[in-house]
Amino acid sequence: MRAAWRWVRRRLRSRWSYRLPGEGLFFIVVTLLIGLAALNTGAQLLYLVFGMLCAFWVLSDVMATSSMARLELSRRAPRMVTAGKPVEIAAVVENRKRLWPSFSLRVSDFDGAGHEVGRGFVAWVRPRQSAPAPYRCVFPRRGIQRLAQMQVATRFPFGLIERRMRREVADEVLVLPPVVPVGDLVRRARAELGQRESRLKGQGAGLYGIRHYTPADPAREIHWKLSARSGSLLVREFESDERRRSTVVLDNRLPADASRAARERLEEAVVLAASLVEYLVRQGHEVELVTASGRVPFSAGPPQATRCHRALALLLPEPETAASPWRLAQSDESVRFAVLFGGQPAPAGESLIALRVEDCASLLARALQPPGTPDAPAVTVFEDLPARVYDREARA
Amino acid sequence: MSFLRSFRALTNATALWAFATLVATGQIHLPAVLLFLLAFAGVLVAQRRGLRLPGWVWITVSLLAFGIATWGWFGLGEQLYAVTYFFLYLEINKLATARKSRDYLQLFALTFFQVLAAAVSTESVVFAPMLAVYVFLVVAAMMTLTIKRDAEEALVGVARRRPVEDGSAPGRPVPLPAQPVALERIATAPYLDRRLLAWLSAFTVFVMIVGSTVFWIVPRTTSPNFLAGLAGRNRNVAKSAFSDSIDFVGLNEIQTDPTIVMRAAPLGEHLEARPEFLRIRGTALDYFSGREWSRSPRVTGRMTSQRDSSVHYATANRGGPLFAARLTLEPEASGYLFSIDQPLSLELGESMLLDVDNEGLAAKAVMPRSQAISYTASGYLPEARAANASSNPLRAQLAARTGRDDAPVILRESLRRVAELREVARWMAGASERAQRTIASEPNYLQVPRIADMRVLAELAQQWTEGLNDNYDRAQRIEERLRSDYEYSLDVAFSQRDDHLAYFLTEARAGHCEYFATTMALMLRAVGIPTRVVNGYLTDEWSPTARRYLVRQEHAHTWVEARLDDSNRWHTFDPTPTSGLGSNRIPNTLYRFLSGWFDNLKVFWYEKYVDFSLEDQRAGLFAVIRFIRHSHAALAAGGNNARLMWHQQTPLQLTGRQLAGAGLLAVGLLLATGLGLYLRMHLGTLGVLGTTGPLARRAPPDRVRAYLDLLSEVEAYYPRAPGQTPLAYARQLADRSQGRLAAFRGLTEDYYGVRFDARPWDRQLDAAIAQVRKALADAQAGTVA
Repeated sequence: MRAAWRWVRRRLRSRWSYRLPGEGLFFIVVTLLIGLAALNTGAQLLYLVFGMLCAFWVLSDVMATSSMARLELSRRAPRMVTAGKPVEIAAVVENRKRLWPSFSLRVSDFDGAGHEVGRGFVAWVRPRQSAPAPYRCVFPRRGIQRLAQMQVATRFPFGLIERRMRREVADEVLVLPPVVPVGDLVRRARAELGQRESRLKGQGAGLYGIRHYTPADPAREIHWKLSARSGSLLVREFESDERRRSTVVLDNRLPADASRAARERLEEAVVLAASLVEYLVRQGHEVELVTASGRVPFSAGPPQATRCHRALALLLPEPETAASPWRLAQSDESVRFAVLFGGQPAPAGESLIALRVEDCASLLARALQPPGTPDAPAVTVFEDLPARVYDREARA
Repeated sequence: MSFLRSFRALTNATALWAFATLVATGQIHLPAVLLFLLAFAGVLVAQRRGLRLPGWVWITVSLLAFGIATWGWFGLGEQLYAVTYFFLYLEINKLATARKSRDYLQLFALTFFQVLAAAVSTESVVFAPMLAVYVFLVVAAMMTLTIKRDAEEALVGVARRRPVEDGSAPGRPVPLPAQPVALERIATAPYLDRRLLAWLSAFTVFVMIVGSTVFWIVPRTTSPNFLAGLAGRNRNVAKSAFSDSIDFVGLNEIQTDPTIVMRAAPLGEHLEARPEFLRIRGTALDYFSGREWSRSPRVTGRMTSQRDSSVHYATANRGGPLFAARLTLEPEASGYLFSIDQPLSLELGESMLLDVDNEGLAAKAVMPRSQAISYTASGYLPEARAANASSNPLRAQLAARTGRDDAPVILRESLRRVAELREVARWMAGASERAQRTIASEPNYLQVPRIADMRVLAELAQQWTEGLNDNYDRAQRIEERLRSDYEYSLDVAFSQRDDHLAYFLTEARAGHCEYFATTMALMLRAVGIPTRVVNGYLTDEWSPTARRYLVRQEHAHTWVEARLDDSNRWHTFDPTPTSGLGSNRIPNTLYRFLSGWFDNLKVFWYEKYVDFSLEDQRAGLFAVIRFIRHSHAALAAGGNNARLMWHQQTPLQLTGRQLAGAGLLAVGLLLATGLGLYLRMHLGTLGVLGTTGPLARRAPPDRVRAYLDLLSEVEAYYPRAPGQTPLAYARQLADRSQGRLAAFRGLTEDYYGVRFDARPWDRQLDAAIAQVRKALADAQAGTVA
């Protein structure tokens, strides 16, 4: 019996719930007072006003109920977003009723921990139609962000009573680490190390040089204009199309008792690594990302940047017993970049460009600053809109 | 019209209409109306031009206007109106400076106060349409305000709810306010289109129907009425033609005025047998000065003041057909409570301070009536009419059914009611005989004015009644001569002459009812027969739809009563030619036709709202119970007798057991309602009670969902830290469970590959999930053990 009652309660609680706003409470008090006055005085029109107030209450309940009935909630969220950047997510409300529209719906989205991620609004949804309720939010940290529940609430039509409905609508958003401009940093580091030129002849598109023709050369490579001018056959030589190769190494091993500050440094190192990968890919490098958790093999272009960012987004601290990332790195002619943090020493005997998190603290601090509220755009209230809106209407 | 513009328009319209409702009660003085309109126009201009004056300017102007409008009102003790003015100007102030949603809520509360003030200040039928329109406007305005508030709260207010960074969840997502363009999109969205207006109309109808239903079922009490006293101080009492004097002048205007002043709804079923003409008695006048009729001081001195809810007259004119009707009177200044021709009783339903004239068979309220009033009047019709009525076949059937020749023409709703009336009549008989004997010795009814016209009147009376010894024959002869030899006319220019009565009889030979009644009364007095004239109404306008007589100003009439012998009975004579009676004199017009229909609504308002009482509620409840009982009996009897049984109208007699059952049923309904409300408030909507079924859960679209479900199951047992990624969680879990949940870690890694690297599942998913579930169960069992 108790189990059945618990089942009933669970079933009921999973549906709509009520909330009585202050206005509703005030309305009830006023209604009761007028009812008492009518009973006391016998003034018939007070009874009528009392009846009307009761009807308002009934209408509130009926309309709130009908607005909430047969609503389906879903979400249109990007699969990947960048930490710290505002992102727009659309909560979609579908009204499956045949005749009745749903009015004034506030849709809230909650993460796995039950915190509100954002809130959208739909003025009305016609029968058998759906409407998006977009909202903006910021995911401050990399990783997987789980969006677990959605709640729709309405106070329609008079704000006297609020009905809510919460539904499990699970989704996951992969939050990529933010990217900071590291061009100056890299250029400075390379100058310190000495620029290595490795231009080779090949079949690329860039011009390498001009030389005299030999019978082995294909005729299509003869530079006819220069040949005519010099009186002897000259051929063009092209640059090799082989890309420059870079390896970014991040040693993400941390002791089990690592402090919170150390973990924060790792976060900054991840941001720095992501920024480095982004810079190198934009510069046309083939990039390899190597961490203690694994490696992303050499490749070039934006897809490679995405792959690396994705790997960095999911990166976790590895135990100190894990294999060193330097073992995983391919030993070739690539330029090696080491992202170091928390006093990690640069590996001995390696020719590399080391970037320390501590050296670019201000840069990273800006990127990892909690979004937000202090720098949030100025709030525009509804009442400030009319003049501008009306001007626009007038122009239209 | 755009959303925001619609909202402004609706807000202004609501404020203006609430004020109009208050003005319609007639309680607001002209200076206050003008000041309010001036201030309102200022607000509109300010809104249109986007001006925002500082709040103190509006407050100063409001207080100034309030001071001017209420100057002297406090001194007169009319605090209600002073407070109303104060709220009125507060409303203007709020309208001018409203910016936030809370301001608008307060504004609507102020408009509601005005409607409330109107409700306690009037009972006029005008209040009904005013209230309906107000409901429409306030529903629209509040609906729009709610949408606006929700939009602001959802799109803008999110910035005010800053997340608390407690350190445990540094990666918590942060909501951001919407871009201003989102608000603009709503502000400029089309609103108030035809479809929305249709919805608003439906809402209004809903509110009116539910409101009326609640109005009708809320139990009434008979407790003291203090606000009604305030409402009773009405300065605009409607005037009617009726007065307790006749001065021959001004009757032209009265007898061409089609305003409805009264209705008389006969009580009972056999309305086909109703009298053709119905006399509504106002008062009897006995003293004639030569220019006007009035009540002599001797009569007024005998009037008794009493506070009662019913009046029983000491009439001796019983014996004619008994007639009962529900009279609904418009407000009028004289305060008279009209009655049936030869009145028996008035049942007012509420206690009033009355002056009762048992001699003239009249009653009037001491305070002028500012409100409409409905009450039941019963009395006897003239015997002559009874003779006509008995020729009616329905009347004969009625007599056969009841076994009495003197059965009332109109049966009351039940025979019990008629029996009560007859008992009252018998009870009053003894007192009335004594009273009438005393009255008969009074010389009032033979009083004649000392004017020259009396000689002409006396000569004519002697001449017309020559050779007749019986008083009845004499009176009848004079009545016949006046009816046949003279004509009805409203053109009585001679009424200013000193010898206007003699001129009427000898020269003009045409006049209105007051001339006919006066001359007959004086002629009878001249031959020694006591007479009096009766001032009232005579109507033959029957509304078949409303099933009641309509009484208009133009039905005002005067007739004669004469006491012909020592039986203390007053006989009614009407010397006015038939061309001057009822519809014979009044042409049908479109106005009369339309006003009849409008009057039906007005009476419905009076009867079903203004005068709705505990008695009416009880009657309605009993009607329902009776219907159920009769339906049940009819079903048991085979259905053929249902109609007959329904019309039998047997009195409802509830036994103690039935009453206890009804009480228990009421308590049960109350408890069930309370329980339902509790369930709805605390548990949500019950499937069986709710308007909709459960929302269908969406099935997982792909295999990833299967993993998420499994994750939820695991989380239910091992809580996951906020912001912790599934992989970190799975690794941590593998460590915590000493490797028993290592399969979950592997599955999570696979999931990562599928989810973010677009790799296919390379394991048997179902088997993996089953393995994790088994491990989870083992872990749980181990923990329990």
